[in-house]
Amino acid sequence: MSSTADLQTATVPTRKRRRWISSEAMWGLICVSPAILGFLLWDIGPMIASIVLSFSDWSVTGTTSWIGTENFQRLFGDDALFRQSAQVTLTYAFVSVPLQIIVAMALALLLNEKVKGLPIFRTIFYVPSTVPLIASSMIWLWMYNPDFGLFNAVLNFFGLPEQQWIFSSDTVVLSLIIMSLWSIGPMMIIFLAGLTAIPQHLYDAVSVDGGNVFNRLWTVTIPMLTPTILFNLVLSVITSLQTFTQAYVMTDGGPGNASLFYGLYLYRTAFQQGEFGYAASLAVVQFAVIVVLSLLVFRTSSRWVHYGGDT
Amino acid sequence: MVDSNQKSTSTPAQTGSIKQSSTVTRRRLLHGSAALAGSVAGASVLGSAAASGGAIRRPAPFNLIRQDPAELVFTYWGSPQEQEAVAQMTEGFNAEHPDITVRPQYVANDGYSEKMTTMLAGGNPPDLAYMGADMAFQWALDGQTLDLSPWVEDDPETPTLLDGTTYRYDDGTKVLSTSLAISNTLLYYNKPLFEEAEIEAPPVDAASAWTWDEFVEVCKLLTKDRDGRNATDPDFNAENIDVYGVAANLEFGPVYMPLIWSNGGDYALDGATEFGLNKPEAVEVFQRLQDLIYVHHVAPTPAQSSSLPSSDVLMRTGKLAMDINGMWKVLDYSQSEELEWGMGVLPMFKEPHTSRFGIPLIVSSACEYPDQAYEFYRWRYSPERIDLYEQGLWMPIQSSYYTEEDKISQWIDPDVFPQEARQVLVDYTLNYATKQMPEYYVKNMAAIQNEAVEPALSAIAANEGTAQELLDQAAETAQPLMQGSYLA
Repeated sequence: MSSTADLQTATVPTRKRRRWISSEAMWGLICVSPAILGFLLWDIGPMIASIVLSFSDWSVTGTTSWIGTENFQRLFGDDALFRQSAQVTLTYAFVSVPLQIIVAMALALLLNEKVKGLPIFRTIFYVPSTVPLIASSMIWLWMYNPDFGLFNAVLNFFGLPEQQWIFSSDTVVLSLIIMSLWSIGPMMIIFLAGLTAIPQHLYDAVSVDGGNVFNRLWTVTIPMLTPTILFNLVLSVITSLQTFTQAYVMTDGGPGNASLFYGLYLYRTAFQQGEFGYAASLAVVQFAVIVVLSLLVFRTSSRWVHYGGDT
Repeated sequence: MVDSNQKSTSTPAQTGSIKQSSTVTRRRLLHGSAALAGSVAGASVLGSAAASGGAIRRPAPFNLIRQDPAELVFTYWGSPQEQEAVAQMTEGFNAEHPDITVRPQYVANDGYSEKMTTMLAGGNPPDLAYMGADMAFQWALDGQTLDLSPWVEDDPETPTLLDGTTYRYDDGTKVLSTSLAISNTLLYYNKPLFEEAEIEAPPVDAASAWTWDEFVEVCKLLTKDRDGRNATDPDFNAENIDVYGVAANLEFGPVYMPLIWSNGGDYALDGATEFGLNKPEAVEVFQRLQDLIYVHHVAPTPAQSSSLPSSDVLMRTGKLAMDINGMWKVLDYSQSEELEWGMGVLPMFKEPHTSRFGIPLIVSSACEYPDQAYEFYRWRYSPERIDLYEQGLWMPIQSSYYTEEDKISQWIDPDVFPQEARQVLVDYTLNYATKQMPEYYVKNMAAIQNEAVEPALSAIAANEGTAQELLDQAAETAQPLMQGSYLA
């Protein structure tokens, strides 16, 4: 080692001895340290605690025993509500995520056109996302009212049969899926950003080749938007698997357990039944499912995500 | 839980950096930011179960605030009026007891139990606290509350308490709490609507209580569609109801339990080892309650209820004739000056019955001054020391306030209560509130409710099946959760 160092010194006599960290990097780290510390303390810390607690019967009030994998055996064994809540949540996620992406992309395409009053339209479509979820849940509760809600009024207008919406176990999840479109503003903005980054010469090339609007969309827009689709897909899968507020505020998991979302079941198990150890095991399983689905999306992304000129 | 809005706010900024980057960086950024979002979201999921701390059980911390005089922290919930009244009560107590300082700590109803859990996990539970029965019994079984039996048994006031207002556990050998106050269940009615329909007011004497069929008939006469036809009219339009005959929340224990008792049933049978709500007596009650909504069309559906104002507002605006509710609702009704209201006893099935339920007030096992805590505990029994009795929110737990005229007049304020309160609150409670609400003796009640009963009742309320079908399904889930009684 010393001979190598000597050699380097000999061959590059003017080079200063390297500090282990540059001043710029140091200041960078200092500036981001609150975020890093926050992440370690408030995210990683509880995460590790949760994994540890999932192997216990911790209830806050009582003594705690380490019970090995008993929580997980119960969860995958005879817990019908685990299966019910997982089914509700996965159904919601698998339907709402593609729907949100398609609608957000369609809106972004429309709002990318050069039309008069464009900023106003963009604002209108984004504004619902600024409404807190609790407030928008209350608004939707009214809109879904079977007697005087907006949706049944529209159905009536077209002579279609009225629905019970969130008040029927047959339609409650579908109603919440429709409601999820209310907050696609941020996703739409990301798509808009993605659209503005597509070079115009690609569209020009399609035009020169005689391509129409559909060709432009299929051969340029969608391929160039795939990185943005990937980003939105991962984010919305995570968000939808963690759905809680709508069910908590609007349906309380009902009627029956038809809208018992996983997050609501986890919350009840912990805070109403005091089974924190078991709730931690529910959280660990939720985390694992999110990680697996996210990895699945990333792993398959090389087949369908196109990074412009970098490949 | 990660709120979708919270997450959304960070994404446009990330996009901004994507736009300005080279394509290579863009790929990394997209991968990186999505992966980071995944990690944070996952961490938050896990954090939701662990965020209240990793403490398992800790000794009471040294509390720097506690000096002579003994300081006791008293945590409670309630409306703004209750907050103020309780604060005044503690001021009165502190003035009379210079050696004890009770410090009231108000916590909003929403999230109360979560905050209590967090305080305990943090090793700093309050000395005295209101607590829901489920949580209180769990804390008691885990040794987090003081067994009050030595104090209660020595207290000359104890024999004067109404039956069932002392909550016991450990086969009835230990005392969790005496009730903070109590309430019964009764029938409120809208006087002008009764007069207009020329119907006699609901009975105030339990012995003359309406049968269920008589009650339904009255409901039909009082329910009107927008054309003014009542529910007995063949042309009555159930799709367009203007005035409802009754509001009765079939998912609410204080509403359905007295009716089930009235019909000879109970929540749990055989020492709380057998689930009782799928038995014929209980099923009939739930079916009749469901029929009020979907067969007779005299009560609002859950969907309609969700968007209607509270029952006192409905009555004031002439949209509701009767309301099956708890005694605490007197506070709201009495404050509505434009409303002429009255009260009656509940309709009955086989025999008259009402409920008697309250809130446990626990003393923490970590309390350093248990004698002083109990002094405060018994001091608040008397209605003259706190306004909430005469305001119509609470009923006393001492039997003398139901039997001695001078004491009755201390809480039945004629400016607040209607004349018939003497029968409907005092006599009715004293003679027809003989059963204990299940949350005070059925073990594992939170799980039974969450996993079996509440889903079934919400489905009955939504007309997703008959009461028998849905309660039989509930019984399959509930029966394995039945773990017996706290009392024996």
